[in-house]
Amino acid sequence: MTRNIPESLLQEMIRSLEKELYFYRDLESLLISERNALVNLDNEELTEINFKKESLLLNIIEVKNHREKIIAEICEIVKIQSNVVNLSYLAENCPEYSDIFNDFKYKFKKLGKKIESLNEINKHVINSSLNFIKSSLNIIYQGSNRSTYSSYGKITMNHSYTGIPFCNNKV
Amino acid sequence: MKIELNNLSYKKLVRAEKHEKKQSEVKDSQDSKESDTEMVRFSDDLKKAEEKVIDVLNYPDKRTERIEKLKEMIKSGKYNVDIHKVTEKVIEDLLYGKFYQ
Repeated sequence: MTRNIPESLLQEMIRSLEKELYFYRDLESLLISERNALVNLDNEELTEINFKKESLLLNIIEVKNHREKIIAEICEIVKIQSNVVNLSYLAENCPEYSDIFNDFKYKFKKLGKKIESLNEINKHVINSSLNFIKSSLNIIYQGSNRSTYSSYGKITMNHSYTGIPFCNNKV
Repeated sequence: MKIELNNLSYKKLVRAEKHEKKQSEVKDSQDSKESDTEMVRFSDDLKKAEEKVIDVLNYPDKRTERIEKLKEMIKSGKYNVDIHKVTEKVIEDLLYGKFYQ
């Protein structure tokens, strides 16, 4: 019993979820290659990855959009509100497909956690790279304006653009 | 003399009153015209609202159209978006979105 939900709609939903899963796996591998490109400071590769990521994200949004349409159709047939329909609902109300929907639920959750941790790592790598670039620029900037040693032989206290001292050592 | 002066001042007062009355009548008519224009404006707003409602009803179609446009813009390199923020949103939805529960 599929609680009046037509087989064709369920099949379409499964196809849409498979597509979505495929795109998320693509995003996972893109995030891995992004981390490698960040570590290797490969600018060309990074630009290419960003380009791929943009179109991949759009594909994900498109698939989600399509899924919403399917849900709307299901809601019209079963006479329920759209926010009720989720993977658990489909697994409970479509026993023939319950294993499939439960499997999707598990896979999406697992993949979500993986992607989240990968994205967090990349964020940290990007931030530390940016900080490295900023401090390098500060050193260049300070070096061009002031001498490192004062007339007393002490290292002068340098300030970054933001006013935060980054060298406060006295000889 | 006093009476004449008073008469004169009285006439002046009457004239002034009449003038004021005329002015207030003119103002009233102007106000009514303004309210008419407000009505027109209001009906214009209604039309716009109606159009927006129709837009919302056709929302999914508009969305796919927009996606197609955005795709073209990305291909031509005219579209700049904060990918990291979008990625975070997508991940957030995947982890905490109602559908995946």
